[in-house]
Amino acid sequence: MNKFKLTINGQDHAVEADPQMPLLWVLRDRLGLTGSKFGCGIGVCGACTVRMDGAVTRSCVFPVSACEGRDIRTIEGLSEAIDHPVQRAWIEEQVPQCGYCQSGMIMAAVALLEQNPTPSDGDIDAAMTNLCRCGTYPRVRKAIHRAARLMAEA
Amino acid sequence: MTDPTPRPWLVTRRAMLQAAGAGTLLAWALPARGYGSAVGDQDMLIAYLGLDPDGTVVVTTPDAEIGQGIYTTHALLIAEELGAAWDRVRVQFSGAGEIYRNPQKNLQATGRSMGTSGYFRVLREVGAMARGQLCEAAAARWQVPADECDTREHQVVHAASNRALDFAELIEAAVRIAPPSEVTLRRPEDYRYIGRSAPRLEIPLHASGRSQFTVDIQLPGMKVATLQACPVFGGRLGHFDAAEAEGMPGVHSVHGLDDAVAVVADSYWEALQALRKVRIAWDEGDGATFASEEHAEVLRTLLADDHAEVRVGVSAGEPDRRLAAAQQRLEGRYEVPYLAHATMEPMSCIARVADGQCDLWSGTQGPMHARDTAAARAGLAPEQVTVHRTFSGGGFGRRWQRDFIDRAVDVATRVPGVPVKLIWSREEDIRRDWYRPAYACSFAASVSPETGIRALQVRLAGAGLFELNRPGQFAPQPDPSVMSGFRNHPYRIEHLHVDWRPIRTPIPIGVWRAVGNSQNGFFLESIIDELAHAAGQDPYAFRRDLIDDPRRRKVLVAAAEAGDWGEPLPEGHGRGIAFMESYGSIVAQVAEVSVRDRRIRLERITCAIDCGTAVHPDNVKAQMEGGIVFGLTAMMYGAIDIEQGRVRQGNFSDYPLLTLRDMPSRIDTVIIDSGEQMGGVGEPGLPPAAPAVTNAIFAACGERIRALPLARQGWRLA
Ligand code: FES
Ligand code: FES
Repeated sequence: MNKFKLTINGQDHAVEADPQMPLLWVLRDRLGLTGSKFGCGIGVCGACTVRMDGAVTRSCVFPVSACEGRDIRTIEGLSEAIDHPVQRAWIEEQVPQCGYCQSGMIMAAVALLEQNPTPSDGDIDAAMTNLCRCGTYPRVRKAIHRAARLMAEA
Repeated sequence: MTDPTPRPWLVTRRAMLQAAGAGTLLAWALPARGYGSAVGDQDMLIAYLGLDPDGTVVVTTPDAEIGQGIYTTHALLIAEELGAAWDRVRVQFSGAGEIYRNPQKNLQATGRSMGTSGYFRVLREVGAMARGQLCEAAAARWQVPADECDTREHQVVHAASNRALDFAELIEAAVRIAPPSEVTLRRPEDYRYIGRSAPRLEIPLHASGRSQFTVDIQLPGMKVATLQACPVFGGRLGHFDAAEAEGMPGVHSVHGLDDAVAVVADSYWEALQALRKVRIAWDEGDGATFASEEHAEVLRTLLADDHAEVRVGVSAGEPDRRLAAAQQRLEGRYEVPYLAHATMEPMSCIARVADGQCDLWSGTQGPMHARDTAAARAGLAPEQVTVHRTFSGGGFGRRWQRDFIDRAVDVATRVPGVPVKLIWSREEDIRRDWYRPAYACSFAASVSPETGIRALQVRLAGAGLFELNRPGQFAPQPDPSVMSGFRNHPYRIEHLHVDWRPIRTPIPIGVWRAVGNSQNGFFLESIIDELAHAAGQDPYAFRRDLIDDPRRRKVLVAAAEAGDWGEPLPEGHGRGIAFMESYGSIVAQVAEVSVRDRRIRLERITCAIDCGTAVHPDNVKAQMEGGIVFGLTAMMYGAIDIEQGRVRQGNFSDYPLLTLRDMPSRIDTVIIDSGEQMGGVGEPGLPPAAPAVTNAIFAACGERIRALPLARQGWRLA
């Protein structure tokens, strides 16, 4: 076991873990940050999506040893009052069904909109590769367009 | 009527527990009114409704929230009658208990799309009883007759004197009043919640990562476990060597179960690493010879075998004679494979067993049998088991099974006092499922442009879900799961025969979203489409003219009109239509696709549904969207293959789902509020989806799809 210093949502955390332990399990089982979910463990579904220095990262396949000194952002850090424009859009479009994939979806959408404030349908298609078993995709698309409008108004 | 003792429904959960300790709870037994349980109104009130001192209404839902939105629907039924303000309502999950049984099935179980219709009356009555108490309390204060008072936006109002009091101000007085023994429910024209789409209460939780699924629950001293089961169904654990695994960092202990090995550790990942180092010898048993490809061949043989066991499900007229006499006979064979559920949250359950008590944390769809199976495993009585329910990361019937409960309890009994969170890997989840069974279907028919369908003979071959453990249980009737859609089809077919040829399978099979309707919709609506084309008729007009019942015809027409049926389409595009009635709801869908070089693009899907009353219309639409995507994932990709008794697929890499880029540019839903008997919405959107699309593919390019999934036959999504 090694010691690692992580910066998560602007806060420093010290953890002990095997260097190969994926960030997802450090977040969930060491730090109790359970907003990021486990869906596949092989980087395919996106339920574990976090942002690292702004980039979309599938934390189930990202070793903790590569996380030091990086700015890690999870769903927990998005807003206190659940009022980030993407969250507001998600609520207004009533996107989630079971909800399990939604933290990852939202984190991917936040990253997309920061890079591209007015994404086209094609841009959304290319960026949003997260899986949703409940089939919320049509609403995810609408919510991203709505969030883009909310962000433009702000 | 005034009573000195506080009414239990008007206290917080914490206070309720204290009251129970002080022996004041349940002091008032009113006559039972037959909710399918032997409890009185007072108990129902306590079970489903609480009021915090600040006036917050706390609704207890007896159902699992698996994405179908029942969390909100149950709350709005109570809020409607109580006159609650939506932003002062919250929801909690019930435990397991007889009092929570769904009156429609006399069981506390989330399934068969009955969460809304089953509790529709009970929950409104509960809300109305509490309204009666609050009105009486206010009336006493104002010195006016109680029947002049009503509730609205969390206040009791007396319109004549223009006075109003917040619920919070009335609690003290209302707790001393017995609930009315008779209640008057609000008239539909006065509804403020039913038929409107209040924002769903669970959505802010999901949008912030704060909803607690089983995998998210954290308890003091908790350990995390994962397991590997024998890869062959029916196999057992032989022996195992855990020496290396036990020494690995973070590992607590390694356990051999009947047919699995589990590792308990500080984290899931550490458990998984250690599990990979356990050397396991399985006793595979007979299951190791099973191959799904051979099974499919056996199903085909059964369809043609006149000496097979045949159980007739529908028999009308004399289709045999008509077919023998027919000049033109149309024949075909359809096939679908085994399917896994692949809920987004893999199977999971937390169990703690100690001191004659077992606690479970689970998103189970069957709390009562979860309780009972845990009791049996732990050697306890059901009363010694407490079920704490959590959000469920998808269900689709998978969380109706007990295996993930059993395994967690098996591990927890080996580490007494330690709460163990057992999380299955995605691979275990896909390889140890209770699969939607593979089916084959053949038909022979004769049609004419004048008389429509002259005769139709359908044969089905596959395993029966409900006969899994007791083959022949329903003979000479077919297994109840296999005739879905064939008995309640809407068409005028005078000469119809449908039979079932059962087969046993060593593969665990179980309920899956829409169950038998999921494959029968594809079979029946493809066949009807073939017959329409054979008769030289437009597939929509053909169906419409064969539907006599106006309610059903209206749904078909609504889908066709909203889906622009008959409007000109670009080259390479095609429209398909399908109809299916399931779980009491009538659904028709029109799909538009474009096809080029075996590449399909889903262009647009239009859905019409009559579920009687749409209690939450936006959620009805969400469920139609979800059902359609679920059905089309199965159509495109869904297949579980078994070789040497082992499931070949293991993760989303080889059991893929549709993604956002595959979505049609529009999915529109038209709701027809007929006011007829209420049906469900969680499942009925699924069955017509695949045939609407495959019928559209036929319209676009002339190729009839008779086997799913499409990816198996070289089709791709563009
Ligand atoms: S859990 Fe990380 S991508 Fe699926
Ligand atoms: S909302 Fe259930 S998996 Fe996406």
